[in-house]
Amino acid sequence: MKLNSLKISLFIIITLSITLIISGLLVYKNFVGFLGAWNQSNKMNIYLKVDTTESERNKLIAFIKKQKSVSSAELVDRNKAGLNFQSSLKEFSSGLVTMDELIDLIPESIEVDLENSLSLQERDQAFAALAQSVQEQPLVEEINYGATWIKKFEKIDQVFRSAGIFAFLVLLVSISYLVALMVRIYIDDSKQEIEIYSLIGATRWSIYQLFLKDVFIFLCVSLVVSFVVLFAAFTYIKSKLVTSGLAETFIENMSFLSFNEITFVVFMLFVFIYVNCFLTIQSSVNRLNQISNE
Amino acid sequence: MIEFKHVYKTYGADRHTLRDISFNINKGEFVFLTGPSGAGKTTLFKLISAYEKISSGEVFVLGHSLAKLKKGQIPFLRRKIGFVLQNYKLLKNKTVYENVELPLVILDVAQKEREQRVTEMLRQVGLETVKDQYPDYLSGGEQQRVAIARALIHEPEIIIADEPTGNLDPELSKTILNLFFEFSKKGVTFLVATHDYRLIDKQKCRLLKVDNGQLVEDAVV
Repeated sequence: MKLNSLKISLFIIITLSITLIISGLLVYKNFVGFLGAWNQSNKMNIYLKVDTTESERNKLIAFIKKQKSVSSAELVDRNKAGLNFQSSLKEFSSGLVTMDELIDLIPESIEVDLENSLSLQERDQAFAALAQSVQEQPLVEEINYGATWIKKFEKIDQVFRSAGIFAFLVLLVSISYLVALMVRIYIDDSKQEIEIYSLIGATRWSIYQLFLKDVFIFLCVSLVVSFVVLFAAFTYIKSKLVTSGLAETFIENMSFLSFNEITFVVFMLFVFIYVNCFLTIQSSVNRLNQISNE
Repeated sequence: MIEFKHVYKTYGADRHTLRDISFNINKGEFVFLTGPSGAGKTTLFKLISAYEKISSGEVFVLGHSLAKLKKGQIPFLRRKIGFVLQNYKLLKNKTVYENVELPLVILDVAQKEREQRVTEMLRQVGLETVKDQYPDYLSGGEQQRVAIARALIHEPEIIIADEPTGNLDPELSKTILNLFFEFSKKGVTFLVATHDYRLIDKQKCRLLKVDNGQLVEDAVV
């Protein structure tokens, strides 16, 4: 394949377009992951009544562990709860309340966590179902799992997901049209080539193939270049964030696209860009497939 | 080989480009097609090469009725025809050798055979020394000889030449025409459109004259 300025421009536009789409997906994935990180750290607290016996508590813990999606259920006694409270207030609590006073104030509780694989909605539903089955138990005083916050996050999550999918589709369609437009310019520039091939008896399919082959090579090389460049940029940014010590939870959850996601992106890009290019090539070749007087 | 039966070609409702054209060209004949600009010569060529469809009548090329020819069969018909056009129609990004080789690539001829045939053809048209050059670096006469070599390389049964000497000086025109006559002797049918009556005068051959879309003369001159 001989390169000319138009072919190079076509390659650059395809590469930049693909990079734009993949980087958009990467930002979207990690932003949604950031919301999910808060979701995963959220736990249910089942506060117990005063004067419960150890066997009653163990029975309740065993009952909770049997419930669907529960990954752990641990007793937080007064001493542990007091220490947690003190550590969360840190220096502000020093001398304010003594440990004995704190222990008297804080009830015993069971801290329940769910499986990490659950989505925000699934987690909310699992917590609600668990709360319903546990609240009838005689030793339960109060249940708290941040239901109001989960609902708010659910709405934000839904808005971001819908906006993300919409933006992805808009970007994909506009980019495939932009690439198709470039392909059209490239074919129009090869007008005489089409005319000559047609004159010497090349079938329409073999003329399409001349251009389809170029677009296929550009698309493959562009995909490889885009993924390599973005992976390098992603690794660099992540390492910089790690050394800066900022937002640890977010950095821990930062990840590049998975194999399934890459397969999906490559499939979508091929379907949209290649099909659109094929239709453009077909219509342009049919239009130019004649003898001109030029 | 080529047969026109009461052929009409119209564009739009009443713009007749060809009117009631009938003639028959046999295998190995050398025919000049002449007439003023806009008389319908190029339309006639476009009909023979199936770039245009006839409005009425019948055209037979190499035994095929063009009206009944399916879209997918057209390239295969064109492979039996060689085209030489006034503006050469050469690929500028390919060398002389690659341009001449092109029809054999389309026909899927083996590499070794392609090499032999292209080398022999370039020798016949006197271009073996410029085989690695690009068309833009050749003179008009050389470019036309490349176009002729490309038209003949796959041994077509018919050669259609539209003003093949239009851009050339008289001496070169004579050389090109002699080349045509050489191949005509080997049984290739030639249909050559030209304005250049000096070329026709010097040859004894058949002349078809079209004017205003009609065949006004069919004679041996």
